Amino acid sequence: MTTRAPSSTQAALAALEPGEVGASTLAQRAVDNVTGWLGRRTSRRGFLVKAGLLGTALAVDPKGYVLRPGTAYAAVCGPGSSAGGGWTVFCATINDGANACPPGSIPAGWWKADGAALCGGKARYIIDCNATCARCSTPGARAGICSSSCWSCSCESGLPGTCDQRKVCCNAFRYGQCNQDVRQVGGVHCRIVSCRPPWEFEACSTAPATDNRTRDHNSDRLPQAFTAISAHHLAMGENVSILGATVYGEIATAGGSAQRFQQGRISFRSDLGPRETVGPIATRYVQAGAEAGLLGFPVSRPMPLPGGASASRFERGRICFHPAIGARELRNQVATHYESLGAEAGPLGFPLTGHEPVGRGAAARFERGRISWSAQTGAHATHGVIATRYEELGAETGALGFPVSAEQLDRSGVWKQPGERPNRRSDFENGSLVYDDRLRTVVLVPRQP
Amino acid sequence: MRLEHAGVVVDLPAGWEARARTQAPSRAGAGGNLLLHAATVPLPPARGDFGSGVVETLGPDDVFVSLFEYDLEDAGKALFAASGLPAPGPSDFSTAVLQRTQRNHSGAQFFFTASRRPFCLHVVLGSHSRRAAGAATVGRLLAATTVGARP
Repeated sequence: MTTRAPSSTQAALAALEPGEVGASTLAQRAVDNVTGWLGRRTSRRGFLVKAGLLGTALAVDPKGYVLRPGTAYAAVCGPGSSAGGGWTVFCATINDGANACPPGSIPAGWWKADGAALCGGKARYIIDCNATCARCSTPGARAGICSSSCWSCSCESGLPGTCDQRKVCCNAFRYGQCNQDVRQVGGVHCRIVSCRPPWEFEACSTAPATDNRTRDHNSDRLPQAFTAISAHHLAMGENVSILGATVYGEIATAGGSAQRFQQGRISFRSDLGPRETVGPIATRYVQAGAEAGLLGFPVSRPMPLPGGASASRFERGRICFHPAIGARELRNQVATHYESLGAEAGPLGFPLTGHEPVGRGAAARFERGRISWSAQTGAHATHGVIATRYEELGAETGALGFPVSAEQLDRSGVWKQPGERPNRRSDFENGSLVYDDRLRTVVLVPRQP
Repeated sequence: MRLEHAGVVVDLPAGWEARARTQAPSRAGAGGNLLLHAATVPLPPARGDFGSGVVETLGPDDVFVSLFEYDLEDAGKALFAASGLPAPGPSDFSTAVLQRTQRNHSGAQFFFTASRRPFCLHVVLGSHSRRAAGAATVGRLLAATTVGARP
């Protein structure tokens, strides 16, 4: 390397970054008049009330928001968050909260901001999702960008109701590291963020680009801090994990916090740590009230089972998923008893129903049986044809009432010759059901007064 | 005044300042890529690779140029099919071709391969209405620039 820096421009040399060579024909002058970062000075009160951002602003940067003059935009969405700032909007802002390229756009390049608090002090990667040249192409163009008339999106400014009012599909710029086999793309539709290098999960090269001035750019529809949930998501693979990308930011829940993702959820409580629920199980969990519901927080990671099935355990229950059945929720003692019998791999198989209140208790049906619970009798399973007959007789609300024991072998010898295998029986509050394997029928034995 | 770095030589016309460095590679063991900035305004120490921190200071007659090199293995991709340093003309500039659009600013962007090295040339002018003069200013800089093989 040969360096011929101007010896007369000491000020200029003092401004060199480490490893940089420079030359100047200018008198170095102060450059502290850099402006343009502040967003439009919107009335704090008016904006915050309208956008509902007061809590977020105070939570994200309470000291800064209270003490520094500025806008609520900057407190939550970072600098340059108005359309006039000239930057491009975050995808989460316009993509229903999802930190993912919207349909019709592709990653076209990236840059990083080093030392980002939003990535735990490490590099934060900003990835441009550029429009595609859906309508035409521009022959001969060297820019890597087709004419705006060809783009798959149209230029819009700002998005009312959020603090991220940056531009949508306006800037005809390409960072160039991603999808390099695509000669032309459209303008930057929006941008996504990641704490994981983009070349690990997108068709991007490693050519580093840096712009530390964008370190704190954000959206009120993105996570506002790097938390235990963020770290867990990152460890799972982040945007290409089984959970996919974040959808909106973290929310406070009963005694903890939670984050939605495209394909699931991570729940966090300090004594349990972060636990993810995925796919239909996560959907069922949310339908059941999630962390604040009767199931409580997840206490296990998803447990994969044969045939594409899976299960997750919770503080007060279990959700089982089978592709042919769907997701079913079991609660409390019914779930505990099911697990004691081997759960999905046990004799009952998968649940066919979720938790069902019945009479003074609860029950659930399974592929090969039933579990019934009441406070007086506890939880007991009935199996196979006995369970079928029990249901035909009205199950818990029928004449037999709740089961009072596990299925057992009938030692009474009533229907058997000496030496024959005993029958199976289940005892209920008001009688028993006995399966006579010689006659292949279930016999009802009323309780003797 | 001449700046030489990593196979690129620029004989700076009067009124220009330039900086060049080899970027730390993203992956250990990979070669570093060149980044060259040149402008008719002072270059502050903290700059985005495509000019943030500089372009905000451009006056109507000022120009900023970023020559950004990609990984060597990126050469040969369709994006870099064009060959040789471009010579931007006034019609290449647009108020939309900017990483960050700014009032009155104008930009142009070119992807190309020179000496088997893949590059992006991004030019920002302080005034779109004066793009003819701005393009000529950039032209003088690029005419004095040569890209050689990567050392």
